Amino acid sequence: MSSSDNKSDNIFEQLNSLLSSNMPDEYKAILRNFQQQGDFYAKLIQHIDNKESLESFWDLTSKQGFSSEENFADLTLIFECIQNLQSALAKITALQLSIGTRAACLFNEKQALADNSSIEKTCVHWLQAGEEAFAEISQGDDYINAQHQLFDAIKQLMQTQQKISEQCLHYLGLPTQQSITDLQKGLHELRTEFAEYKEQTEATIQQLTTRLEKHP
Amino acid sequence: MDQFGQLDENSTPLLACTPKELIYSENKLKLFCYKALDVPQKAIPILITYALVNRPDIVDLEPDRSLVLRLLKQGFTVYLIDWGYPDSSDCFTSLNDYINGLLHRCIQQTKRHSSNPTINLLGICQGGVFSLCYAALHPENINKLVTIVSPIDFHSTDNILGLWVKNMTMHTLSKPGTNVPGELISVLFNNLKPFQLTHDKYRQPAKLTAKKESFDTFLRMEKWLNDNPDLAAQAANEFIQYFFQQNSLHNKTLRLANRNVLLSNITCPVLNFYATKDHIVPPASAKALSEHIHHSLYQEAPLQGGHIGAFTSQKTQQQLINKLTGWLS
Repeated sequence: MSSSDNKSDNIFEQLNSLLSSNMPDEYKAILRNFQQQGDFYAKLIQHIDNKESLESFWDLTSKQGFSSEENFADLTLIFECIQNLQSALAKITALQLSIGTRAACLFNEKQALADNSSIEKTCVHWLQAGEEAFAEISQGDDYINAQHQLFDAIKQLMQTQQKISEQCLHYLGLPTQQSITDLQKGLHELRTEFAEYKEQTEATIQQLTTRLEKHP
Repeated sequence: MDQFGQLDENSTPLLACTPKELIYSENKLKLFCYKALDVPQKAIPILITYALVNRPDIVDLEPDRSLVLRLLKQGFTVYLIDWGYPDSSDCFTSLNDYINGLLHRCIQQTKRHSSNPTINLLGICQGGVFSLCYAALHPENINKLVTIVSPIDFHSTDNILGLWVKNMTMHTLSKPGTNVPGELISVLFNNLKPFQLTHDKYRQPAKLTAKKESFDTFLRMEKWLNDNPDLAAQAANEFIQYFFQQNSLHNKTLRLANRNVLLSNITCPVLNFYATKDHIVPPASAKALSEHIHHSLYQEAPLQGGHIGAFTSQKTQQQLINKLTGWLS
């Protein structure tokens, strides 16, 4: 490559130029490896020349995806999620206990007003008191909010768990959720297209059959 | 309690025994046509579509409580959609797939199989919601439409299920790439009346087992209640978002496949049954349909009972059939 070709002698510039070209993506991925390793070796030589610490140049953990600050943050986040879940569970449990308190109160009122105290009647009062107390409390703002907090905490925990398990799958070289999702979507689309095609074909056959029957 | 001791695999009462023929299948879905009885036959068939959350066997629970059998006795040709048990490969099945895809193809199949240009559509619970959406989008295919315990206004008073899921974020009930577990939905429904459905129902085993017939009915009902297909995640999440949260069918903002779903576009007569003691679909929620359908096309009828009892109890089932037969004729 010469300067007369209007091309840079700088290998990094050449790589950048190629990466922004119309080259197929699979080749760009290979070029990016060259680019990244070029950066790596340039930094290594610089550190050696400057007599700086070299330990980080043999770091495998970051390469395997378990030591970056982001990953540690995910692991910390899962504890936060569990705490949120515990807090939400505590709130809903307290409200559910209050249903018992309210139901006991209603039950005593019903028993006091009853003409007889047969086992059957007592059981009916137990049921009515429970359902009435439940209807009162479960439709209140406190219960609804506590339930939403619980659902949100469960969702947050599931998402964080999913993120960490994705990293583990990547580390182990196993298919990630994204690749499974792509397969599921592809299969679903294929099934739908096939069913639509089959339906159109059957409808056409019937139309033709009817026409033939009318005009043999 | 001896009745329990006599139960084994061979003596367990069966559900859905009315003879039927499979006429179409697609992935997990099956479309059946019931064998006609030896009675004068009506011209236009009925296609029954049930909810996704339980099995359609409830419409043919046992001979004395079979909606299907009663319709056959009236001379109707009866078709039934069985949505099947979705697995993880179905988690991207959307509401549009169910309504404009699966339901549409079942209706086309029913039309061809019965040699009719239109059919009568009978939707129960969520199946009624699907039927209404379908009739609004494809009015040319439906002769008459019947809905049973079908929610329209998801924000009506006493709609506790609506209150609970109103602010639930999407995908709370399922992990990526999986469906919403059927057991979870079952727990959610049981929690709407926790003391009645988890305690009181099992309080009197001696009473339940006193007669073989009533014990068999109890066992069939328990079997049905505990048979909960998972819900395709995409459709379940869309249903929560569009219906429970946005109330978009009632608010006239629902869109499927880039088309507005307006119930006022329904051009066929509609008969709407609601249950007076329904804790899942309160009467006000079901009756809201009257606000959308032209009064000359609309009729509604109460059924004394709860969400399931309204169309499975012997007494109300007879009332339902009498009203339905008269209206369809």
